[in-house]
Amino acid sequence: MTKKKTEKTSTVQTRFLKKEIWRHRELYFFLLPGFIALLIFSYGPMYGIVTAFQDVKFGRGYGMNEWVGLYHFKRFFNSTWFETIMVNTMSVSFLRLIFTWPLPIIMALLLHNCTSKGIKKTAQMTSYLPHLLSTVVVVSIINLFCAGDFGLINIVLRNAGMERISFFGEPGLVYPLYIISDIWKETGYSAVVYMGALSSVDEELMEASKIDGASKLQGIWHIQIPCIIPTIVTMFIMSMGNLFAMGADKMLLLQTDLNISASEIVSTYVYKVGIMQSQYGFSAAVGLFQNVINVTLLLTVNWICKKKLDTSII
Amino acid sequence: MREGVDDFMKKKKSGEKVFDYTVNIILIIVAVVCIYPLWYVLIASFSSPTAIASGEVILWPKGFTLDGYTRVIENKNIWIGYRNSILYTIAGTAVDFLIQIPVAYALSRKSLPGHRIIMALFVFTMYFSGGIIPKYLLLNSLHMINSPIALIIPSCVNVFNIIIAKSFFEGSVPDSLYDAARIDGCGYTRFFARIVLPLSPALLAIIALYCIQRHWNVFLDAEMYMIDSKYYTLQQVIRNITAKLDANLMEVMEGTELMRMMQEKQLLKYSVVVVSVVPLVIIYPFVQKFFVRGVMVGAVKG
Repeated sequence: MTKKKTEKTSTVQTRFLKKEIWRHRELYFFLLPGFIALLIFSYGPMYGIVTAFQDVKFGRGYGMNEWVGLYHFKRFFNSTWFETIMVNTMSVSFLRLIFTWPLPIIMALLLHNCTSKGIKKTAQMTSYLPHLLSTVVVVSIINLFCAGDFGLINIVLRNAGMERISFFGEPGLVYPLYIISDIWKETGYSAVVYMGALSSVDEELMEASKIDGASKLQGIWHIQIPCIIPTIVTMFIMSMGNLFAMGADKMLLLQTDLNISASEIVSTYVYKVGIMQSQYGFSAAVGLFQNVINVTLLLTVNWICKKKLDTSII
Repeated sequence: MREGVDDFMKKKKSGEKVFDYTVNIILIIVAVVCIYPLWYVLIASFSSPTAIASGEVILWPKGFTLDGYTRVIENKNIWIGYRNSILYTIAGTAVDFLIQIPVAYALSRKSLPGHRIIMALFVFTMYFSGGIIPKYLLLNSLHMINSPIALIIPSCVNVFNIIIAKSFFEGSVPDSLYDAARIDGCGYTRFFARIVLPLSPALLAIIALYCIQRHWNVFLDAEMYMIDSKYYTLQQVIRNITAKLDANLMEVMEGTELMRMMQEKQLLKYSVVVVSVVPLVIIYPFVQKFFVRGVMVGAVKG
């Protein structure tokens, strides 16, 4: 008797669902092109991950390649480049995290607590501008400033009677170039998110603290920062998720034969071995390795933040 | 007693003032640091190469010249790059729009059966991807390598944009609006075209800005997929002119003739950077507020 009843409700439910789907048929057509593109261009390459376990011969389908198991992975772990690449990737990642994560918060606090409208507007206007520039242009500017005897910095140094610096010859100098240009390009724009969070902080709280004798700095520390903690955590998780997902382009552009021992990171290695040397299976394996680390890191940090701080993005 | 309080308040006020001044000064420094590199590139592009090399160019152009720009105009590759980048950007943005906006609208309707699962399928690709090599092989088997299509179509699903547009539609197009339209016999398609789109110019501007910026600035994809120089984007051309270090030339450099050549080359580099940035800087004042709004809309959902 009860069974019959549940069956009946379930058929009613399916009927209702079918009706709902039919009612929304036009919306499914809205989704269709995007969904097909997603399947082809985002999920298609995921299927292509099998190449990481295959000996890829160009022009053959995935099904026709020979399986080689973990051969490519073993080769990567045992290669002479492995250690250098991992150390470099981690160095850049952590340096970038340390410098590019807190600075936008400070920038936003500065802008929010600026009393002069004109200065605030100018600072905003100018600090967003570099975000529009492409990586190529940014690196070109770095080159114009730093490269060779005709770079601005070396001209200034020469005029001051100091030794010229070979920015692209010293392996260790590629990180400052990378990080400083990143700070220059993104700090202003990244601050916007925190500005949004700050604008929702109740002004009356600040007023009240002022009456109670708190200085502005104390107000910032005890009211404004605690109020934007959720945003800070969210952005932190996001940047952790992107920690090892650095694109190859900027590093590739900064790379020279002389600084390669410091500037070769996983993504540049994948690009070079894969696209330029056509070792598809091998570089797909290296790329997969990087991808898995990324996702693991993101999920771990997300999980920790969920447990400890009750904030998460997934 | 009373005096003590006054003193305290006075101190407080002067402390406050010091704070305000410090903030102002730091922000002015920030503004200068942000703008000066660009300003320098601009003035250097109008200055004589020898003035640049001797370090005389600091705040204004010295030894005004348009040589850099005449050489830019004479350079055929730059024009090809310019044309290609404009075409790719227009076509790419159009495709992005046709795909992303309808998807975002459909997914913003809570009554749509399965919208959660479909959204999850989209979001998943933000965190995990096949990697550049499988994508390259895929495009190769689709015969898209060395064809402009590779820069126009494969990047059309931008999940970040979809999230922004979706949260915008969720907030500003209530379901009751559609219900009212439906009673008047209006289907989803007509509702979308006649009511939703006209309601969202700000959103369309934001998405357009993001798409244009991405297509205009794309480099690594172009470097991978475009082999013939006739398909090169502007970014590739700039890179070929500026970013390639003339390390070898520097080493063997001697004689004033070579020196002059190097200096002139440097001037060309400055001019090229200016020429490539100009379009973005021209639209910047108009789009700046949308820029900020886009981040705000996106940040709500995180």
